[in-house]
Amino acid sequence: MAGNKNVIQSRFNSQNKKYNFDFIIGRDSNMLLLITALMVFIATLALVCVFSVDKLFDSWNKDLSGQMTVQVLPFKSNTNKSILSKDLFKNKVDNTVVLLKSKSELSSVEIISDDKVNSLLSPWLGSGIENIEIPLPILIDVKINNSKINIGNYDVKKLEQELNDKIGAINIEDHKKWVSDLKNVKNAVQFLAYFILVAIIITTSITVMYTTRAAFKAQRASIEVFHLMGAFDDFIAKQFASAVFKLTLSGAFIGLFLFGLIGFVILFMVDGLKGTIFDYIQFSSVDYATIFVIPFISAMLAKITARNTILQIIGKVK
Amino acid sequence: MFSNNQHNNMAFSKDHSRNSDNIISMRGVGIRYDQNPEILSDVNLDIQKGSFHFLTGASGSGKTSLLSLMYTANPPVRGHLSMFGYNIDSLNRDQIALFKRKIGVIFQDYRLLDNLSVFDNVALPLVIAGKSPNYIRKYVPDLLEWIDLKNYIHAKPSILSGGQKQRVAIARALITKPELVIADEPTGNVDDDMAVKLLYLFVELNRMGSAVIIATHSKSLIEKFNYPVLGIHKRHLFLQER
Repeated sequence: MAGNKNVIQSRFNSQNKKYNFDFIIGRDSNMLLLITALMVFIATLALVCVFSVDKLFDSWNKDLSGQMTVQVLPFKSNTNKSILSKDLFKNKVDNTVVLLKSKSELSSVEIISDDKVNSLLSPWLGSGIENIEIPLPILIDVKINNSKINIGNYDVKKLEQELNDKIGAINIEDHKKWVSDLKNVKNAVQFLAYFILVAIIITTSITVMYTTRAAFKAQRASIEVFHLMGAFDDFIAKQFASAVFKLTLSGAFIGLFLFGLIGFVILFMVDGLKGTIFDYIQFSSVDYATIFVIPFISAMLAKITARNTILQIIGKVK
Repeated sequence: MFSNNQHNNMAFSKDHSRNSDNIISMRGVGIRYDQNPEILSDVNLDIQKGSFHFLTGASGSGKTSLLSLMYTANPPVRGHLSMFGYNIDSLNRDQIALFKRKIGVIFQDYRLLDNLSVFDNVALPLVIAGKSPNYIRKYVPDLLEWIDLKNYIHAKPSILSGGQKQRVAIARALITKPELVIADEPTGNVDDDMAVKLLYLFVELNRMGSAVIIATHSKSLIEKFNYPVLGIHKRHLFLQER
């Protein structure tokens, strides 16, 4: 008899110490599992988009802020578009550089080399353009000295006016507009991504609510037995919440795993696209941690929703 | 949430007008469902600690309704009901839940949870009461041996016979050592020999201090065991003379 009791005890020991009432969530669990996997997949995609756009913007903003390109045109003036001779044009460029270097607000003035200009133009004009006699402007890369002046306060128009008054036929591209447009795009993409996240949260919550309600209806007899044995409403709600938590956590990790798998394949495919925007997207450990936390947040939200749904139902039927 | 200790210290509205030995006290109680006529009227009843009663009456006479009132599944539509000395109307759901833990109920249709094993079904009231796994491991195997179901601890109820299911239901009702055991036709699905064996289980339980109320149609059982009989006739409850 003692031996048999040991068998019974070892069997119980082999079970989870905590009682498992996961059956309570019933047959609808598979649907909830699949929906959670899908929702977490989309949520992760949205979050990765937010991070990527953020990184891209930060990177470009860092590169472009405080920078401007002075374009010295090979004309006499803005009104007189006759092309200057090589010597006169060289003089014009030299004068421009001298003038720019005299400005204490500017920290760096560098003529962009012909090779670099050619490489920038080659996608449009093809290779060998160095041999073609085209009157190309000379580009001067200028950086604002941010230790002397706030970059945002620097008056580019005033400088452009001064250069045109003293030298003539000069344009300045200060990149501010590009950064501003880029920021608008970034904000739009992020808004869309956050909207998707909110939509996912609402959809998942509604699914959890309906699944929990259906399970409650299906398991009514079991719940009645729980009540007859003196279970508090909260105990019953916790059993549903626990079952939903485990289920949605599993579904969420499936979704995350699928995203990781597909992401890995995509990264593998774009590996040959060095020099593209993918170079700018480097995730930090905090970003990875945030993505990894998504399944837990999803499962916690589902758990809270399930618990509140059950308490609400019991409150109505009592 | 109330723990058992909190329960002891809680300021329940104790009904001092009633005998403290009464587990259940009903005065002028009426039972009905929805707007239908009353099934039972003017029920006056005292169930004392350690008592044993049979409850009998024709089918549809209201036995199950009376029992459901006793295990607080349904409230009376009128009259006064006290449980363990407390007016039931003054208790909230959590307080009533605590009282339910002092009552073991056995249903004619067993109401076992098919998804759980025999062991887990029997352990269920202890889990709900918040007992530790060690406590459960200590008491459940002993009870399973006592009701001779030691070979079925891992089995699901669906594979058990009617008599075995009834014994599991009885074990589940007894595992918390309840002060009151209510059984609705516990011998309805078993043969006569098994019925007598099951009745001896209840007698043994009564000897250990629990009050027992058994609803049954079986005149032979009522005659074999010499306990008071509550009868229902024409919507009224009365104590039959033996």
